[in-house]
Amino acid sequence: MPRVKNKPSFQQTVTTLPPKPAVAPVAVPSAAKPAQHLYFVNAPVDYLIIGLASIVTFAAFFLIYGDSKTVLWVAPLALTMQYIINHPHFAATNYRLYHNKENIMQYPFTALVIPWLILAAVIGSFYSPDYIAVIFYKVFMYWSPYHFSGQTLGISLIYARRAGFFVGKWERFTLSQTIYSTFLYMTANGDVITAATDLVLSTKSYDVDQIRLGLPGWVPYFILGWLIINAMGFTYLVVKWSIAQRRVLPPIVVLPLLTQFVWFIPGSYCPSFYLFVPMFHSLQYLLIAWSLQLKEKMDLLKITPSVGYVVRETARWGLINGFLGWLLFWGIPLGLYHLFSTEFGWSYTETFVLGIIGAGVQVHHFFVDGVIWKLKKKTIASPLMVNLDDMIHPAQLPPLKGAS
Amino acid sequence: MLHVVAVLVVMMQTGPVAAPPGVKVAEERVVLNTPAGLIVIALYPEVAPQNVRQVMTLVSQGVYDGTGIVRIVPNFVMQLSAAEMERTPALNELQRKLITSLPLEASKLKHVRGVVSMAHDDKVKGSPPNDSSHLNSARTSFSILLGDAPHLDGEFTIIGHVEYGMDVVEELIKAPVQQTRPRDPLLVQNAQLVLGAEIHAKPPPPAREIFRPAAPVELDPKMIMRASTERMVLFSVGVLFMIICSLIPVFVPKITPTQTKTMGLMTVLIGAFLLVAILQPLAYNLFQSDEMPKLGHGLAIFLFFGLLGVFRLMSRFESAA
Repeated sequence: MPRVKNKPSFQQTVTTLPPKPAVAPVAVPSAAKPAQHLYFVNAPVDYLIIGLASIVTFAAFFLIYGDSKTVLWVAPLALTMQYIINHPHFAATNYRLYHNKENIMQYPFTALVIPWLILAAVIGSFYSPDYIAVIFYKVFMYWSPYHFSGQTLGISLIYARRAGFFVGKWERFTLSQTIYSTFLYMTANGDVITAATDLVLSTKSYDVDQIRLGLPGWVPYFILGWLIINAMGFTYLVVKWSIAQRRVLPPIVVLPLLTQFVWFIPGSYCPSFYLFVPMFHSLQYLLIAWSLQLKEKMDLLKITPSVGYVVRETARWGLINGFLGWLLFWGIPLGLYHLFSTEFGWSYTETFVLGIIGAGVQVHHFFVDGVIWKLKKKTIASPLMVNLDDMIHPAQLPPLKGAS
Repeated sequence: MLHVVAVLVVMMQTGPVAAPPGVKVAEERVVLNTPAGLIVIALYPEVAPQNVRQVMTLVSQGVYDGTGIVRIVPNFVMQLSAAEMERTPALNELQRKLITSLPLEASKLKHVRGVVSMAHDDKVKGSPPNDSSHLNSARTSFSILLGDAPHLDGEFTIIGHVEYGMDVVEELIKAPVQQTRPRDPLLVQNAQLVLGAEIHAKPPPPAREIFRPAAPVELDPKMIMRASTERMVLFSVGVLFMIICSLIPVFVPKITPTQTKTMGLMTVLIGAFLLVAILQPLAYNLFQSDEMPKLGHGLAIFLFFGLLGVFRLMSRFESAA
């Protein structure tokens, strides 16, 4: 997930708040205009991918089906979308880290040591499906939405930076606390028990027993209260900034937060919609990873911007990640399953093998994603600030698009 | 070995159950595909012609696809929901038009285990004693009898019996319930008509285990000390990894401060995993006790926020900042 830290130079040159006027503000000096595009592609595409599509989908499910019953056609569709979106998203991080030696050497532990650690956990899970696998899967199930939250924060900060919105200590604190509280509420809610028999869920996931930690009922409410306090704080800071800047904050900056709220709070009560949440998360990721891939390659190889380049590189990158995704989540697990079933008489189900290896691949992704966005290349100028236009037309310091 | 014996016992139990003597069975069977396996129902067209005809028509039109099991009363019945009211997605116009209220087709057959019987509305409170209109209100919902219920004889229409799949029914009724309703949706994924000859040629497999009762664990705070082999292996390997991670910065020359910190984070991660593996069974034990659930909750809160803290630390992995 992209993580952007406000570097001092950026804060000083672009987003420093104007000094408070001593008298009534007659003419507030405006902050320096951010010389960046607001969107990666354009407003409709960015809004749709970053959150509007998932919010509309949730609204549709809610209006059509009304309650939380599972809709039969949803699971096969969600499964199909995994091939197209979810798995390539995981593959994209691996491709980015491993496709050249320079990247690997920048983060040798993540690239070379962590896979072995995860392999140990996976082997442990096969050795002990009723104990180690259950704990491993539980940790994975916690880490996954936590990772979603990290991405949401990262994307919010990218757009904030693009919009010239000052993210100081308190802005960052309230924003991150609001985002993480949505995930905490959903997770805590699932771990509340009223009786000891609730500790083990009646249904399995990928043939792995699911357990609850056993939280008391007040924990989710406590988290909800914390969420509300921080959301109010963040709103106050946004309003304050807007008044000082005399412009409205572009909604795209808060869209990731609203989207995550919909995913994890009302969305978690609608299982049919909830199946698509990972897909929407992956979609967000792919937009940014794709933009970055195009920009980095263009800068590194000094490629002239053109439509042809965008199309060719998109196709190449998409095919590689599609295939790699299939390999990681289907090819390798199924290959191992068939090999070990016939050669060594494995008694594990195919579902279990897919689930445990899939969890391992995803935990690896959480690690890789934590460093992949910090890759340093002196030859690349702010790839996270890129816009599709930069890759199609030669750069001419374009004006800010759609920021106010 | 025990597992093999259990499977054999189940397989012996899953042979076809014959209809009562003298009762003719329809050529086509209703096959309900459930999360636990297939339930095959043999219908009695001569005993309840109108009810059977409607059920077969509705099955062929997909009315029962996605209906839920809404009532489980051990030793009494497992009942399917009324498709016209509770199915998701809702029935289409054509399907709705096919559903009519059916008259009671009483017979001399008995409500015994395995019998399939149409459900109907309850008698309206305050209606005259001789009012029997509710008996003629069966539409789509039916029940599978889990035990003998002579008080239903003559009051409900028997349309058939479970020919294969009582083991599936037994698995389904293990679902956790609130009152008598399954806590989580328990759906008939689809229902179809299949020729009896085809089913006899290839009988359905035994029930899949989908509900396992929570393993009874005795309260024993020393449980972790009596570690099973699996736990011993986990802890040995985990601690070995932790030692290696801790020693690498000591013995590897030219290691950078960032790399030293990263090795520390790896040690923390492995330690956290081991801690969850130790404390989760302990919390489980505490919850089993009437006296110590608060301690169990406390442990759960510690694990919950502890895990989040570890994830937070992991975001600093290989980070110089």
